[in-house]
This record gives sequence, structure tokens and C-alpha cells, in this order.
Amino acid sequence: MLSELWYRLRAVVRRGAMERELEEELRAHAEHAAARGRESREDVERVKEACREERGVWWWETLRQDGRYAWRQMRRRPALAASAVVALALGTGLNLALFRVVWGVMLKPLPYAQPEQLVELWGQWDEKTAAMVGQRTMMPHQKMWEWWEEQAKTLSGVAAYRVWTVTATGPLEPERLDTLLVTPGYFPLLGARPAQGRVFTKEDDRRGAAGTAVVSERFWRRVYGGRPLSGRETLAVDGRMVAVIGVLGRDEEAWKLASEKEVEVYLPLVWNDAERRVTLAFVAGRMRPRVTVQAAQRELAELSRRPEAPRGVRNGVEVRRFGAGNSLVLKQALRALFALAGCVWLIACFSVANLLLAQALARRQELAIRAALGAGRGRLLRQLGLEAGLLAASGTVAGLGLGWVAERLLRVLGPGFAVSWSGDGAATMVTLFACGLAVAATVVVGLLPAWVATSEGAGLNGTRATAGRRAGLWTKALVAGQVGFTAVVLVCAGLLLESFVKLRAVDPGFTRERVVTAALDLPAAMYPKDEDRVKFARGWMERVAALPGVEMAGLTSGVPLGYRFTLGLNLKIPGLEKGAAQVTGRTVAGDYFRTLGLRIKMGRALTAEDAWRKDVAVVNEAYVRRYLKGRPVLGTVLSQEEDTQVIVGVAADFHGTRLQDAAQPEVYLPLGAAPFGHLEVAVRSRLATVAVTEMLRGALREYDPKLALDKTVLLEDLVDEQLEQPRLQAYVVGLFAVVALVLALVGVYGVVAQSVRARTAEIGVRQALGATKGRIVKAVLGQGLVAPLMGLVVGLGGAALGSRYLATLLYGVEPGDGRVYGLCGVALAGASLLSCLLPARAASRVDPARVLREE
Amino acid sequence: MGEERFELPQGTLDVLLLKALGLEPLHGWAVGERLEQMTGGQVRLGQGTLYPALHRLERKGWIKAKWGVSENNRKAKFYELTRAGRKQLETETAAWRQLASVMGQVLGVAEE
Repeated sequence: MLSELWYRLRAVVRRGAMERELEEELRAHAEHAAARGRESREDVERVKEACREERGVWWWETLRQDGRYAWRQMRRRPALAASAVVALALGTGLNLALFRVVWGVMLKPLPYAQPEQLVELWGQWDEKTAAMVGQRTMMPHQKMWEWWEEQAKTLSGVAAYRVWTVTATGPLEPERLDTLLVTPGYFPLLGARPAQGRVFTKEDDRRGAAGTAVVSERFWRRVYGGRPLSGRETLAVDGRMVAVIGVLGRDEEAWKLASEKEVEVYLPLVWNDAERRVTLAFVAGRMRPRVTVQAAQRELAELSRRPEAPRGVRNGVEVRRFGAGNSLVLKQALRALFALAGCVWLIACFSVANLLLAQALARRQELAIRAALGAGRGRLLRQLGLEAGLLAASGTVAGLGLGWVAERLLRVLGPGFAVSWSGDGAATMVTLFACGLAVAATVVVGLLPAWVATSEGAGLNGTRATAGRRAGLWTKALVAGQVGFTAVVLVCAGLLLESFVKLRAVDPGFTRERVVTAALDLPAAMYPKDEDRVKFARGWMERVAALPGVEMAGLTSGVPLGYRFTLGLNLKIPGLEKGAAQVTGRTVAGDYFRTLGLRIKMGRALTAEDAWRKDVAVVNEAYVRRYLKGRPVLGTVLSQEEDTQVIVGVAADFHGTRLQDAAQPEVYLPLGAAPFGHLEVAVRSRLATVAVTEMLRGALREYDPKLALDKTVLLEDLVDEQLEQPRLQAYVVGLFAVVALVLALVGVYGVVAQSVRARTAEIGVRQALGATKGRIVKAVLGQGLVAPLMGLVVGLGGAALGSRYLATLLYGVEPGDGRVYGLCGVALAGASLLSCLLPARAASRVDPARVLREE
Repeated sequence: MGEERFELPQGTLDVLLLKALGLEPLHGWAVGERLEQMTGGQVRLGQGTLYPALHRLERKGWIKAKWGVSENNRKAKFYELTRAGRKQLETETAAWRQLASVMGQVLGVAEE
């Protein structure tokens, strides 16, 4: 069977040679026959034909014939071909660019060994806490994953890990590094074997063990020059010495479960015990072969019900496919964008279908003759399908080029689209997707015209009227479809644009211009006690405030926006039945309030002098609204476990984590009341950011050379970051809307213009019979607008249904916002009117005399 | 003069050609001659039957072709059996023998 296929392939490739051989062979036969006195009386051509058939490549021959014919057709109508190719290129290009992103974010397989076996294990809060915190899942603690590791039979391994930022010195200049703290089971779980040395054992993960670290190959080359591991290399991490015991191989991504961070150093999980009393971490597990997520969930749920299970486990467990919960909002946005891109593609396909339909009608005679000469309907359909396929293929190839350009554009507009842009098999997938689109386009674009053109009544005996009428209905349907989809895209674009504008107008509650922030961490080994940290903070604040060019400066545990370091305070309010409440808190020192421009609504702010006290606090308006309704505010006492503070002021709300979120109750405490090791400095200055950064780094080096400053971040940029995705969404869908509009309007224009052209004679006659120009125009408009308006109405309805899926992406706008729908409807109707107006006016200018003469 | 042409049932041509090539490689004309010999003149194939059949056998992989020089010093395309072709010949021969014996029994063909 295979050899037969091979023969057929060879026959196709060596066609010319085989023909010559056959000629030669038959001539030899004739000569042999003549030598024996027997004349060969056969028709050589028919013999050749029979042989060709036996070679089994006749299908290829016919394909080539049809292909050549299709190509000639295209060349005969360059305008039609060009507009079809352009339309398809636009539609396809957008889809391909978007698919590239979708692949990178959603479809690409994870870089780990057998990623389908990896799962995330989460604990669950009890009902009460879940209601308070607002979510069910909680990070597991040590007893929990040890229990799972010990007991779970469906899992072949369990490991815990978390990201931890440290200051590394030793052979380096002080540098902030993102490290991954891992349990000994981590590397075996991922199947990672070190290129040199070893990975962690249970011994390394014990409290009090000698410090050990495993590093990446890149780090090894950078810091130790890539020499062979001798076991004597050390690294100073947060003031403690660790020995480098292993170096990982090249493929970094495969070892890193925390995919967003650049991690070069791995430490045992026990490392962070110094800072916290309870060790929380992310937990990953690997299922045994042929175990499903549901089976693992069942087993772990059953385990959690056992009486000897540790405390946290008993509230329940959740097993998720690894990575399922990542970038949820981005994935939603991508799905919506992809659907809209599909609409644009359909609009383009409908355009081309209409073009081909018109052309097919014009060729009815030719097709009828071919049918009469014996070409079956199948053959004709194949021919027309091939022509459509040629257009579709050309359009798709052009689309690939356009898509490449669009992708570059996307990178410029939205660098935070968090996709690894390089390689990773995307080129192949995009090409495959493009092929799929080309095939689909051929079907959509070619099927209808082919069917209509070869149907009954399209023959020579069928009247022009019947075929024309049926085609006319389809044309109208296609135009209606185009306008309908355009309406959908337009409405979505309008909603997203309005969302973005509203979000941009949100007042974050602080002044963002010219404020530079930078964070540092005080390692527990170097600053073990509260007093040490307070002393450091005082000195640091003084130095920063004294820097030249600094107008104002303040310290805080975390600047606003994003998931910054905030404290969870358990506050009891005497006199209130509600007991203790978990409230977000920030510590401040220096001129923090003024630096950030936080407004005070009542009382006063925390000033530089308050910074080192422990007994005052400022709350925000949301706190007052939630907990102090109808009670006096200033002078109320807040108490935690050890200390109490008196409220001396109320600050205006600002949005905490995301711009979209409403402000949460917050409390500001002086740094002296809760001196944690994470300090962020905020500096307002007229100097350039680079200059400020240099000054800060220099000041820190003088003050404590063993510490390092994190990357500086402008407060402005923090706000912009929040706007990035909404902005990108609005722009991209806006682009879709523009393309869709152009395609649809050109489609409407084309159809009406075509109809006017076809009925020139009729118009001329009507004019001669007394119809005014105005009436002609109205008649053409009336006919031409029916389809677009119907499409518009259906499209708006469809948009109303579909925009519900956009709900999570919108801010300040409802999916059913009447204004947007109204505006889009009017705009589209008006544009359709204009498209019909041009041919209508051309119709009114038909010279009846000339027409009658031509008749 | 009308020749008594033996009507070949479908599918038998293939096995006859394979048998004709059973001994040694032959070129197209020679195959036709050999077949005439073997059937005592009862089967004479024209170009229109012979060559398409040969090409079909080549496509199925039962014979392979090579260019060579014929007995009257002319370039010609020689065909010979492949291993698969030989196997096919054995299989078909056995099948035909069985068929012939069954038919013979049933139709009571007398020995002449």
C-alpha cells in the first residue's frame, strides 16, 4: 500500500520523464512488431491515455488543469481578485496576530515535564473566615502539605515553594534577588537533576541546618565564572552564609513553578522561618499516571475528613490543574477579543462571497456550456471551489504578512501582555491556524457562489430572472450579515472605550506626579529586634530627607496600588459588638501624607514627629463608614493585642489594590508602632528619576553597605500599569471596529452599485417615463437599505446578548448601556445611508436617451 | 479472417502477465510474444491492453522496470518480477488450481 503511494508520488513528480519513457516504450513495441512483420494498428494516444490512468495520477492532472484555469480567471479580473485578497488579508491578519497571543497565554503547554500531571493543592477557610476574607481558598501551611505527602496515594510527590526576595552579597555587590524557597521534594517533583552537585535533602530543610543553596546555570556563570563546582563556593544571603551545593542545567523554565519571576537561586523552605511563625507556601503535586484531577480531589477530600488529620486540613482541600487559575482576567479578555476577531473575519469572508457570487452569476452562460459538454456538477463545483481556494490562499498568505506587522504593533502598545514572544513553537501553530483559516474561508467564500451558480435554473434554459432572484436574496442576506456583525464589534468597541475613559478619570486619591518609590528589606539576621529596625528607619529617613533636590520624602510599609506589602491588623473596638475585625494597615514615617498628597478630611495627618510614637493612628473614610457609623471618630481608641492607638485624623479614600476596586477600610499607624522589615521610601523631587535613584542608592550604600535597594518605581507608572489592559482592549477592538466598518460599508456600496449597474436600462426607461431624479434616488436607497437595516437590528440584538461576556472587563459601564447602543446604531445606519447614496446619485444621473439608444 | 479471440475474464490478465515474467525479465513486446506462446496463440494482446496492464502491475509493486538493450540492439524497457510479485504469483496460482479443480469436478470435464 505504501509502495503504491510512493509510486503515485513519484509518478507525479517525474511526470515529464515518465511521458518520454512511455513514448519510447511504445515506439520500441512498434519497431519490434514491424521486425516480425506485424503492423501495430493501435491509436497511440489512447494507449497513452490508458497508461496514464493506470498510473493513478489522473486526479493530479485534472487538478493542474483546473488550477491553471482558476489562475487565468483571477488574472482576467484583477480588481476583483485584489479586493478579495485585501479583504481576506485584513480579516485573517487580525486573527493570526491575536492567535499568537492566545497561544502564548492560554494554549501553549507548560514547560514542565509531563505538565498534565501537575496539580495545585489549596486549603480552604472555614465558612466564617471565608465570608470575611472574601474567598474560600487559602495557602496551605506546613502540617498540611506534610500530611498530604505522607498520606496521598494518588500523588507520586508533593512539594511546597514560595518566592522570597533576599539581599545577596558575598561575591556580589549587594543585589536584590528573587529566590524560590522549596521543600526537598521540589526538584524530584519536576524531574530536575542538577548539572553539577546535588539538590536539597531532608537534612538541608531542617531548622538549624547549615545554609545551602542551589543556583541556576546563568547565576553560576555570572557570579562564579562557570568553573566546576568545588563545594567551597559560598553566598551571603540576608547576612547569612550559605554554601552552593548544586548548579541546575540549562533549561531554566522547566524548574520554575513560579513562572512570573526571574529566579536564579533556590533555598530550602526553612529559610523563611526566621520571619514568620507559621510557614505558608504554595503547594504542587504530581498525580500518578492515569489519575485524574477528580480522583485526586476525592482522595484528598476523604483524607481531610479523617480524625487524625491536622487542623487546617479538616476544612477541606481543593485540587486544581496546575496553572488553571493564572491570568484569569487576561484569559477572559483574550476570549472576547478572539470572538470579535472572528466576527471581522466573517465580515471579510462575506464580502468576498458576495463578490464571487456576482461573478458566478455573470459566468452562468460559460458554466452552462461546460455542463452541456459533459462536466458534471461535481466537476464544476470543484472548479469554482478551486478558484475560491486560490483567493482564500492568497488572502491568507497576505494575512500572514499583515499579522506579523500587527503583532509587532501589539508588542509596542502592550508590553505587559505577559507573553513570551520568542519561539516556543508558535510559528508552527500560527501557520497551522492560518491553513485552517484558509480552508474555512474557501468553504464560506466558495460554497455559496458555487452552489448558486451551478444550481437548476442557472442553465441556458433557466431564465436570468430566477437565478438572479435567488442570488439576489443571498446577496442581501450576506450584506445583512456583514452589517450585523459590524454592529456587534462596534458596540463592543464602544463599551470598552467608554470603560477605559472612565477608568482613566478615576482619582486614585493621591498625587502621582514626580513621586519615586523604592523598597528595601531589612534581613532578620542583621536587624533582629524592633528597636534595631526603628533605629535604621530613623537614620534612613533623615538621610533621604536631606538629599539635594528632594522636596519631600516619607517611608511606608507599602505604597498604594498593586499587591504591595500591607499589614493585616486585628482590631478590637471597645463598645462595638462586632468584636475583632481584620483591617488593612500601613505604617508611615516622615512626610508620607504630604509626599503622596493624601487629603485629610478630619483632624490631622501623621507628621514626621508622630513617626516614632506608638499611640496615634489615622483611619480612612471607608473605615469610618464601616465601623464608626454614628460614633465620634476623633479620639476613639483602636486596640490590637498589645497596644492601643487613638484616632487623630481621617484620610480621604484612595483605591487600594486596583483602580476599579472600591476603597477598603484602612488604618495608618506610625512606623514606630509596627516596625516591619519591609520599607518603601517615597520621594517627591523635580530631578529625573535616574538621578533620584542614584542618590538613593548612594545614600543606602553609605548608611549600610550590606543592603540593596529594589528597582525604583514611579507612582505614575503604578497607575499606568492598571490602565494598560483596558487601554489595549479598547485600542484593539477599536481597530477591529474600524476594519469591520470599512469592509461592511464597501460591501454595501458594492452590492448597491452592482444592482444599479445591472438595472441601468430599467432606470433609464423610468426616467424617460417621467420619474424625477429624486424618486430614482429614493427608490435605490429604499431597496438598498433594507438589508443593512435589518442586519443592524439583528446585530444590535446580538450585541446585547454577547456583551454580557464582556461584563468583567467593563468599568463604569453596563453591558446594556443604552447610549453606546444608540450611538452605534445611528452611526452605522448613517454610514450605510451614505454608502447607498453614492450609487443612488449615480443612478439618478443616468442619461435616459443614451440608455434607450443602447437598448 | 476472424481470429478466435479468447475472452479473458476480469482479473486474469494480471496473473497471466506475472507468469509470463516468471522465468526472466522481458520487454513489452516480448511479454506479448511469450504469452502468445504459452497460450498456444489463443491470447494475443494489443498495445492498448498490454501496456496499461504492465503499468498497473508496476504501480502495485509486483513488477519493476529497467531500461536495457533488446535482442535487435534497441533500447527497451524490461520488466521483471519483484519478490512481492513472485509471492502474488504463487498465491494466485494456488487459488486458480483450486478453482479449476472444483469447477472441473462440478462441470464434469472429461479428460481428452
